Amino acid sequence: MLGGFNPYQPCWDTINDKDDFNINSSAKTHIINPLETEAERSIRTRTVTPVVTGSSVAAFTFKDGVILAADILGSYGSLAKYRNHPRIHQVNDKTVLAVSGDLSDADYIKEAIDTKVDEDLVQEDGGEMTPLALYSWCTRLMYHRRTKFNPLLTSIIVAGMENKEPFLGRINDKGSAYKEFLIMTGIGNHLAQGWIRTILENSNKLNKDQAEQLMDRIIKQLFYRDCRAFARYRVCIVTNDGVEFKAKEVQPDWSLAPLLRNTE
Amino acid sequence: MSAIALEQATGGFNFDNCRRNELLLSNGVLPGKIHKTGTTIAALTYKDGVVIAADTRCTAGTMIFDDNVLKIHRLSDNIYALGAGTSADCDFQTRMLESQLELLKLNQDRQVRVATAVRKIQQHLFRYQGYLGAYLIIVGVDVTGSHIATVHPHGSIAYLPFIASGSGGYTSLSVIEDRFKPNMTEDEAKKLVRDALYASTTTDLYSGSKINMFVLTKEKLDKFLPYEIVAARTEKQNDYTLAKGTTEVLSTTVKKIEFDIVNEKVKTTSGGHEAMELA
Repeated sequence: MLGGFNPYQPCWDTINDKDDFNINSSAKTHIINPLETEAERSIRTRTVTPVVTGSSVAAFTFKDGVILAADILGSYGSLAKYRNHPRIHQVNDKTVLAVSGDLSDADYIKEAIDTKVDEDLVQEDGGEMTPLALYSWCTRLMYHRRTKFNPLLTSIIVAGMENKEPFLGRINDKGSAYKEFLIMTGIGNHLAQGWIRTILENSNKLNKDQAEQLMDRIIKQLFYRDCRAFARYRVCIVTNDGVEFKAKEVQPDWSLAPLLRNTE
Repeated sequence: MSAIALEQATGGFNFDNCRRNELLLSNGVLPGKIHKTGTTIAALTYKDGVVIAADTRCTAGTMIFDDNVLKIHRLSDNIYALGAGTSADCDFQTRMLESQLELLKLNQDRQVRVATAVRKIQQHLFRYQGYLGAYLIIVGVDVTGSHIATVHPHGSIAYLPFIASGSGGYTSLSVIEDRFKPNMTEDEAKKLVRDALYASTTTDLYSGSKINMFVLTKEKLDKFLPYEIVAARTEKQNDYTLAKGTTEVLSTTVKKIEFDIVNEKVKTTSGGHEAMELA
């Protein structure tokens, strides 16, 4: 009896290396084991720890827009392997996406979004993806993957101009999402979030130059204290005039070095 | 017999307590719950001396155990310690160190140096292989100048121009690192440390309540207890006391409670306590 045999499904599962043909057991022929659901199969093939990772991303809103910064390093564990891998991706004239965490999952998300943007373009009806729409879509995507126990191990930051107003939001690998005036991912959360939050809360809205200078200070601090940081980074500024990218390099100040010692 | 009553540490490691612990565990005695301080402590050197600050929150798990803990411990007139990690370890190790330093000072007839305090605590903590959870910052001003040093439970130390430690340490460190310059003025230094502590008391859940600050120089010790109250309990918005007559009295009944006399005892009481004799 051919109960459960599906000719449209591949019979040979080389990845999981199971005896799908039941060659070794003649009694059971072509029976699909009820425990072997898709989730269980995926458990053996999913990534559980990130492989190539990006470090922190810093982002905050200022008077006329949003500014983001991320270094261009992809770390392979503790090896600084891909040293020219920008992590801020422009989606359209008013939306950008920054990623931190596993970079292969980040590429998957970028490709999916680019496909969506192309589909919109092809319709030729003036419809464009807004930051809020992208933020909602990313939240659904991340949570969907989480429910299948196969998460995308990245943090996504969506930034842009929504109805001419600055928009900034973050979605983590569990699908937990929030919008804020200041977002840091990775170790930047511990190092810089508290510091910058008190600065931004206690000052008037910054203009573009002040925001850039503050961002340079943030990246410098992260470079000093984060083991997986890199000196070269990209700054992205989104305003109503469009998206602007700048390539910069941290100029660290080592003048305090002679004062450090671990003996008397 | 020696005139110097200092603690004589025997060489090598002492593992007696490991046997005892195993025995206790096998008898079903659970290890005590560790009360941590979950802290932010920060110290930096400026032109004339050092400025140190700490928050005042002590947490046990997710509960605030004590809202007004002093995490700044005196080791000597010119040396102070800030403690993060396990509360008891910080308190007692600094107290032990304080008494040893006092004896040393009396013996050598000189002001104790920061390096001495750091070396003594480092060697002591190393003997316990990290089991004493005391993350200390030792600060002081002595004849060689002003120094601050961070000491970790395993016994490693570092002398740095500024240090921030504890669960809120990362946050404070960024603030200080951004604005630190060697040889700042006292006001600049106090403001910087205050900003650093403010950032971490408002960000880190395990730090908070108040900021205590000490300014230590060759001449003086300024204590600001507290320097600033970060989490002030707000005043009640309304007067919630109820006016008399709010609850209407519908009826009043007076009843006698029936009771039987079971036992009667008569005792004489005298005026004073003549019976109290210290034999």
